[in-house]
Amino acid sequence: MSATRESGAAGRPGKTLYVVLFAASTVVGFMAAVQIATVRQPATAHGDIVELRSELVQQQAKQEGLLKTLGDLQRQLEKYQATGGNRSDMAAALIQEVQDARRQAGLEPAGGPGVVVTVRDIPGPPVSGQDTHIYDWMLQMIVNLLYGNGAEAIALNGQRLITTSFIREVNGVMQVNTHPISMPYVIEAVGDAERMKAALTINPIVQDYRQIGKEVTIEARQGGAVVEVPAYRDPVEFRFAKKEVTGGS
Amino acid sequence: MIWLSIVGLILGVLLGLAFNVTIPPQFSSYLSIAVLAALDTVFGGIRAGLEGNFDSRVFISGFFFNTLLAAFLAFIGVQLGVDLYLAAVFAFGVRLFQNIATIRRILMDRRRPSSSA
Repeated sequence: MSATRESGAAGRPGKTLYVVLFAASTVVGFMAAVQIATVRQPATAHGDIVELRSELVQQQAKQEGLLKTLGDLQRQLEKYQATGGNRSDMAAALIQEVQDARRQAGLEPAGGPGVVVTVRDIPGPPVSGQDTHIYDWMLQMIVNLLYGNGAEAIALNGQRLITTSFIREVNGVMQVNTHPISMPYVIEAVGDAERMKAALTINPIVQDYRQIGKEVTIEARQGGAVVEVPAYRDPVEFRFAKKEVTGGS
Repeated sequence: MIWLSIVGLILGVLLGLAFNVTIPPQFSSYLSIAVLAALDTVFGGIRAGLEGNFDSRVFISGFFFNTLLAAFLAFIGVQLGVDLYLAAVFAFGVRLFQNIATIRRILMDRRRPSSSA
């Protein structure tokens, strides 16, 4: 203990004290300098670049979406302003918008080029020993094919199909939108006539119908002839899908 | 003795700036607390030297132990989500002031009799 105690009677310390103190001070000074240099350097560290970049991409996507919304709203605003503040013109623009929405929802009659697909019994003796029944999924397949190939409005036996429409069998009776229908089945579709006809013709579903003794005729109407489908007539009610959910992302 | 420490400090700072050493920013809080602890130990050593009970073993062990303990405390604080480094800042800050105050008093006491005598 006394060997390491570096003290003099007059408070004059030994050599070790000086050496150790000097060394310690130098180390502290060095650490302080490192700290100062670290604090001074700009905050963009190496590891953050990836994070920043992904954040940038996210922000850019967000901005794009916002710009699109802005453009839509500005166009709408221009439309309203073009009416010059005239109340009746404004009402007309609103009615036009409602009309557009109704047309898109299938609540208005539609007409244009398209195809008429008819499913009927092949005349002659029935195919024996075989199930000749047309199941609901067979009609669904045709409808799906038409929608998949450019159909914009479809009516099945005069019943307009909308977003919530269904084709199903109840006790052997075919139903569309809860309305019973029977043979022959006539599917009218407004849309790209050529494409819909081609898609149906090459699809094996037509052969399937033939095998059970049914004939599928596909009549394309374009040029002067048009296909006309009626409006959806039943009430459209949403009990659960109440409100548009905005935001998120 | 104080001049020696100050010269050492300046030399260290100059060395550090000359080499321009930096550490990752996430460790900067640990280093700052370590610097404080080391500084406290140095002043404690000066005080002990003036009081005549300087022990190089105590000093050297205290220097490293306090420095590492302070950094470790800060690290634990980050892991726990508690600002534990404040405890180190407080403890070492108070001790720093006490040490400096003691050093000042010792130097004043020493000068007075010599000037009066």
